[in-house]
Amino acid sequence: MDTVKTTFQTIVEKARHDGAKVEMLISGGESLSIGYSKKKLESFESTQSQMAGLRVILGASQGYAYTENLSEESLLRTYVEALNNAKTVQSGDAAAVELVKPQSVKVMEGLFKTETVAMDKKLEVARLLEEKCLDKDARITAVPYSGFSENVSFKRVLNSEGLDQEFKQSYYSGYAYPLAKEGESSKMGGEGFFARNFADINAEKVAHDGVDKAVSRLGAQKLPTGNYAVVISRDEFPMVLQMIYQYFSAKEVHEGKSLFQGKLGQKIASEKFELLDDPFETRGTAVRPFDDEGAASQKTVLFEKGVLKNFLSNLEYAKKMNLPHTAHARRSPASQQAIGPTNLVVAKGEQSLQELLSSHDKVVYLTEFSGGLHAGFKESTGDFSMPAEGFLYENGKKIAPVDQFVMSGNVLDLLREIEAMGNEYNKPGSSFICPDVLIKSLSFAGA
Amino acid sequence: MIVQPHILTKALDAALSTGADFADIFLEDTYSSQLSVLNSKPEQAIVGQLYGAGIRLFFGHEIVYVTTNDLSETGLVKAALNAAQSRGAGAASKSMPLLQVPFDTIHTYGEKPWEMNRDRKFRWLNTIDQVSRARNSAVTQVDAGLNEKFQRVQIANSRGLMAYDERAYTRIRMQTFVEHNGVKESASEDEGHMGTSEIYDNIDLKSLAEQSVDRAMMLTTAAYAPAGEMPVVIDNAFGGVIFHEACGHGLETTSVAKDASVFCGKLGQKIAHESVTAIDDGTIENGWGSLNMDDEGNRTKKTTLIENGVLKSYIVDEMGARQTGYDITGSGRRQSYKYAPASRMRNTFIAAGKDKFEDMIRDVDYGLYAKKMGGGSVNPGTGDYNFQVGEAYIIRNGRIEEPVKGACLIGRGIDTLGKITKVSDDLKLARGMCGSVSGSIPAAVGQPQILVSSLMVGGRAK
Repeated sequence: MDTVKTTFQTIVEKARHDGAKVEMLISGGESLSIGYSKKKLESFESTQSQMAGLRVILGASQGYAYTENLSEESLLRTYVEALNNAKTVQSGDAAAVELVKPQSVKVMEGLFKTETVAMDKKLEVARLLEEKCLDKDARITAVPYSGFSENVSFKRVLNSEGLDQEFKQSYYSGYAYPLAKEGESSKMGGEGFFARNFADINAEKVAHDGVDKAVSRLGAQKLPTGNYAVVISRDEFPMVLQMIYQYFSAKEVHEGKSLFQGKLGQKIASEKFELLDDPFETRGTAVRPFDDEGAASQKTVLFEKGVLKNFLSNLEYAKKMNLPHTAHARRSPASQQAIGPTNLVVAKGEQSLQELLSSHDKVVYLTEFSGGLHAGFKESTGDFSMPAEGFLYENGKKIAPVDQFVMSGNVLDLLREIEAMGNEYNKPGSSFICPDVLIKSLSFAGA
Repeated sequence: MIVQPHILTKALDAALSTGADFADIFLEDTYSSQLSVLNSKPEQAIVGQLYGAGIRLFFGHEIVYVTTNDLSETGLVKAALNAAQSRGAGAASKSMPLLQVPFDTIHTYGEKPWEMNRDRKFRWLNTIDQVSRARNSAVTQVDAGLNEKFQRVQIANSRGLMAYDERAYTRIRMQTFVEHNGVKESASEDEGHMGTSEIYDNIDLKSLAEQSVDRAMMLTTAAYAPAGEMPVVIDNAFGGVIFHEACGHGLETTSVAKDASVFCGKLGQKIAHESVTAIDDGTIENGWGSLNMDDEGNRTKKTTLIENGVLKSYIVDEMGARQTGYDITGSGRRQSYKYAPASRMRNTFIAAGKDKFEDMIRDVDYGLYAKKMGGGSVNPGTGDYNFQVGEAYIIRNGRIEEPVKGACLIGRGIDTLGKITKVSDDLKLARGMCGSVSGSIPAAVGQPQILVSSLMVGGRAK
């Protein structure tokens, strides 16, 4: 038997003596990252990590502790800390928190590969990501961010009910963000990739697509302030999903923080908006056979024809709020239990991107949100003012790149104003799988 | 001391065994604690330990970096050999004998976080909860938390440097949710420093909680901010995030060495209005972004970045100095051993000027007073930045008038620097967390009130 399991059994014995239940989440992995700068190898990083997080349940109270030192002595000390933490917190509930019982989970093939790729080939990918940007267009002056990485990650959940699940996956990823300059105008564009097989990587294409993204926006003009129809590109619509991401959590609903509170079964989005949480979709990066407390994953319909169909739950909140248990426990060993989605898949529509761009006299094709959510979205109200860039289209024809504008509104209004979905998905590499989305009207503050 | 010097010497020699011309080891043992009160009850208690090492090798301008959680002699030597063999094929060299670098700490700490009575900590959080709920019956939820971190670091390098340091951080935060006439809003406040938690006995948590409630209430009735270009007065303290984003990141050699900053090659040139002097200071006693030594073992410094509008210095780490030839400023920083260090800001602020805040407001016919800034980001390559404004007011005919919400400021760093036409005499600093290539680190921002003659305000179109 492995030493972690032996130690965990000692902990289970102690917990039984203390009248407690216990769960251990271990996660970690290995990664190799390679970066080039000015056509020379710049960084070569090889990291390995492991962390164990203990959750101790005393009746309705839960305490947590974690460590990166997985020796027996350290894990036993961590258990005592988690137990003390469970004694510290107070739950308002009478009902005891339960742990997930041992259960079978879907076997997911092809996610962990042991293929051996020669180091020269990996270096070559990293080199091409930068070099092909610099060589493609004289207006590319530098590639501030580029790199290749090879990753293996694992997660294991054990608990005092006898559950012991483990999941391992491997993948390659890389990116190239070239900087283009022409006169006074400078733009950075970027493209990335995500691949389960090394043979699927096309570094040159990623670099060239990144260059196109940067160069095409040079000479951008300011957008006149006003209301416009907007197509949010399939690569940027994930930002909108990130805005509503937490609202599905039964825990957030229970704590009065979710804007979806009290809206289950109601039509709160456009009929065109259909959203599925799919933990088995291998294009997505959030694939998993079981959740972070070990419960078997399942698909969950979130929006159907604009109607909010489900909240996401873990065992505790399914019971507390009398909701279906959807197996969406989410935590890292260093955090307490929360609830979150896996891969979010937006249903595709019928129209091509060009058709969407031709659907109104004037359309803003939004291709970049310039800042993160922290710089423009307020979760408690749904209000956003997001700096963005893109292209102005008139009667289906590209007029000019536009920048330095802010798209603002409320995310619930945005969901209601969705007019059509495109018929193509974004590339793999995200846990959000989306088409281009046409929105009838949004406010743009520009020149 | 986390690991004995003779073991580190063996690991450094292993690191130098294939031709690296420099190697260093960063060891870390960090205690973290997060406590929170929600629904008026102790809701969360998590403690934890980070424990590992990062070994870095330089082959000229090339960096090899490996990490391990195994801090035994075997573990460290193995990791160092892996690093060396992954790239090098040159001749071995030996590291210099390790000599402990002694220094007096700039910072004073009280009771360690694991020693302090937990009830005392929860009393501060309960005060925040109770005061907030008593302030206004529209308060629907209060989320109050105390985050503490105690980081022990030991650094050794092949030039014979060995140093040990302790960094304590504490931060109390609160988020208040209100519902008034069917409108939901929230606001937040925080307080903290580099040091331990006994400071909260002497901090007016009551006023802080009341400010948070009042701001959330104010937002329930505020109209949306207007859109367009206008003069903007940015308040002191966290207002300094504008300089941090608009300029600071572009001065880090991480960007400069890659020709990925608009400030490349501008040393000695006028890059800002002459009223602007900006400083990055790692030596402020118990300052949020202060250090004794940086994460490469170099003593931290006070660095003048811009003096009367002229660019005086970049922010330089070991590799940055190698690549650009500029002097090291003691600015090599990282979130933890999991990240190789990079040149990063510490406590960065615009120095006090001579103008009076009242005069700045009086000079504006129509504009925005950005009182409380939110988060922001920058693209160092283009200098395009943006940030949110949590609390703002319309300035009309030289007077501060109605509050507005949802404002966002966007611009290009180098343009904005030229448009800072007034700088007040009232400098204040505030805490932030800064995210970049080497992770998320505590960094202070600051400034006196400033007047930007014209800035794009993103609000809602009429």
